[in-house]
Amino acid sequence: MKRFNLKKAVPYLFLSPYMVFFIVFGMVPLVLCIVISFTKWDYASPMEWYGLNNFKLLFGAIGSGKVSKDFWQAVLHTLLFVVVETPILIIIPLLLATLIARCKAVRSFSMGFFYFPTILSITTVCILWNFLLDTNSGIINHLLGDTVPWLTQMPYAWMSIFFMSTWWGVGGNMILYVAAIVNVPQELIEASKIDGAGAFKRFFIIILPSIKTTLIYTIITTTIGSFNMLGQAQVLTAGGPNNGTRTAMMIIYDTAFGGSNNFGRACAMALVFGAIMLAFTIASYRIQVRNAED
Amino acid sequence: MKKMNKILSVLLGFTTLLCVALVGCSGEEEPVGEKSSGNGFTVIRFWNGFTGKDGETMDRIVANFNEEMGEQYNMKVYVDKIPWDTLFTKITTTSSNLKAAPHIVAMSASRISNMQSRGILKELDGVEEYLGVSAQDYITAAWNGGVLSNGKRYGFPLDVHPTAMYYNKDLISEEEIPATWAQFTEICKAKTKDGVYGWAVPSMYSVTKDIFLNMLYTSGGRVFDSNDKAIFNSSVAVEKLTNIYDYIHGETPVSPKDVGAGGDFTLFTQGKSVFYFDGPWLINTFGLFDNPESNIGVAPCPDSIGDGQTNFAGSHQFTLMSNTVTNDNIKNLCYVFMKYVSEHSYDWALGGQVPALKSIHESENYKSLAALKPFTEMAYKATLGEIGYKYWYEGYLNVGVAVSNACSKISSPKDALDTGVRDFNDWLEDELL
Repeated sequence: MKRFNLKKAVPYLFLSPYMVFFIVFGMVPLVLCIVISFTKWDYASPMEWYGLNNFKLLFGAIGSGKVSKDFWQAVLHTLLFVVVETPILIIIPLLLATLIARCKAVRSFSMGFFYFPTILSITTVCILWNFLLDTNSGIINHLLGDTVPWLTQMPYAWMSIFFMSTWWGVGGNMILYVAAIVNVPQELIEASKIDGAGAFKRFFIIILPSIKTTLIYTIITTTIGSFNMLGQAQVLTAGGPNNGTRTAMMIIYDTAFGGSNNFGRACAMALVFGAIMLAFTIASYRIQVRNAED
Repeated sequence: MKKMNKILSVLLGFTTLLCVALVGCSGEEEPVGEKSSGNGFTVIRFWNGFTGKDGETMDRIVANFNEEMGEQYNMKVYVDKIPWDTLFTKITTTSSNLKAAPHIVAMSASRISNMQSRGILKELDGVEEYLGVSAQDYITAAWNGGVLSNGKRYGFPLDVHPTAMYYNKDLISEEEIPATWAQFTEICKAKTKDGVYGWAVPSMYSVTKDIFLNMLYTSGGRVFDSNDKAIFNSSVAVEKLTNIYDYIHGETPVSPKDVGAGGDFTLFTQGKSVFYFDGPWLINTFGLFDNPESNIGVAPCPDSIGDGQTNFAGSHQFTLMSNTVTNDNIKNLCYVFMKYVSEHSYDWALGGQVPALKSIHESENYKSLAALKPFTEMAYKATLGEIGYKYWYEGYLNVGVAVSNACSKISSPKDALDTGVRDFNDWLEDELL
């Protein structure tokens, strides 16, 4: 009989607490989601085998085409948010971090100032901005001396969501960048100064390569976060006007937990959208890693 | 080093077991629906979505019930307040978990049909005989709101909540209060000047759809016909939505454009609009019970209480859950509680609701609540819509989108309503696949 080798088992024991949670809250729901996507189920009634019909509905192969149209429209809205908001949430925090990281006098205050909105819940932030952006009595229009329909007309509704999301999310990444920039060896920076490198050159040649790991991490987490955007559209614009800001997460949530609790269809949507998200994230990761290796 | 490894391994193993135990165990629950051997009373779990002042009022009524009736019936009612948005999700997802599921749920009458069709609700068989109540004791709309097209009762009436017209007394005199929509339009036109509007019409997912339905029903229109066909793009519907559209985009607008969610309330409280439409719960927000001399008054919606007129309203009903109310003992205890709340619904009126039980309205205390009078008058003439139809609620949501699109000038009133009906029919086609 083979003896139990404690030494070999130690890594697995270290991993086991995480694995328990990962299996219970990650893998089991994923498997259930796959199974449910092949059914018609409203949770209360008995589960009914539905074959590929939920997926066919999503791709417009059966039905009126409304499910397909609504779903892909929502996916496009989400992609719009990802494509616009992710770079904003990378570039602005990076610039801010670069400005304040080496300036001890303002660093703590600035970090607190920009990080503060991040600690607020999205509901609180949306309610606050709802007042600020109100067309007829909001402070922003009062200052502008105009009646811009920030929340009720396109493209203003999207502009409001982008602006609010930036205000809310800029601090989180900035803190990470500040920490990374502070850790860039001072000798490197001094040496580059002696060699005559200006601020721009120092940023692109010294700082940016030195914080690439942090950069890759924030790009991936921000991309995933943007894909999961729900609260902003749900509370600030309720997906309107005319479903113009309805995102994939919203339609999945509404399908699962709206009036008729169509869990099967919602699971199919979640799987298709998950696949899109995965493909996007892997592509983004590969590009970043390749750049980092270069 | 080996010793260290051993200690670490033991610690990690223990952590793993602890995690598994934590995941596997559920928290200690009150005994639900059966006699607790420790306490000797039957626990009834009551869920509702009353999270404002009405929630505080309901908590007080339940506490009084437990104190006055708990010992006699050997029961105790526990309340869980869950926001309406998530209440229906939780009812559905806990329906198979007997430890967590409620016995009684207060819900809008408009959701009963859908919930019943999925087997979530229990029929309230024999409730009238057991409690000794009948149709003439309750406001008709509320009483009928609990009965489905199969003739069976699934909801017991708690209240009716019409949408009435609040007005700013600094901007309009009592004599000028309009009784018809034609008068309303004229007075709004006259009052719209110097930065003040007649009515700030909210354009996004708001009370405007209820005002539209008020106009529609009182003009003889409907959302669904008797064969459950969506007809909210009828000519009368187009005419009524055009009236609302003209308030914002007509030749003589009485409303600012692009009033967002809550924007109408803000303008009204700032004294920049004469009228504001909302339910009776706003009475407490405006403090009208405590301050009758307030500069805010309330009147019935135009064209809603006259002969042959009606108005669109909602109604909260008590419902029983089929999975937890499994025997007559529990069912009868639920009935006792429902009747107690109904009979003590003067307190409920103080929470900003119109009780469904008519005898409450006869008491001097109730009559002294002047701000509730317009709502009460409207409740007696109210209709809840075609709520017996399983997909009423989805139809109602489509009406909301159509009204919103017209008010935002995304489509003309006719196009918005036509699209709304088409979207509903498409949705239904996919739902029935």
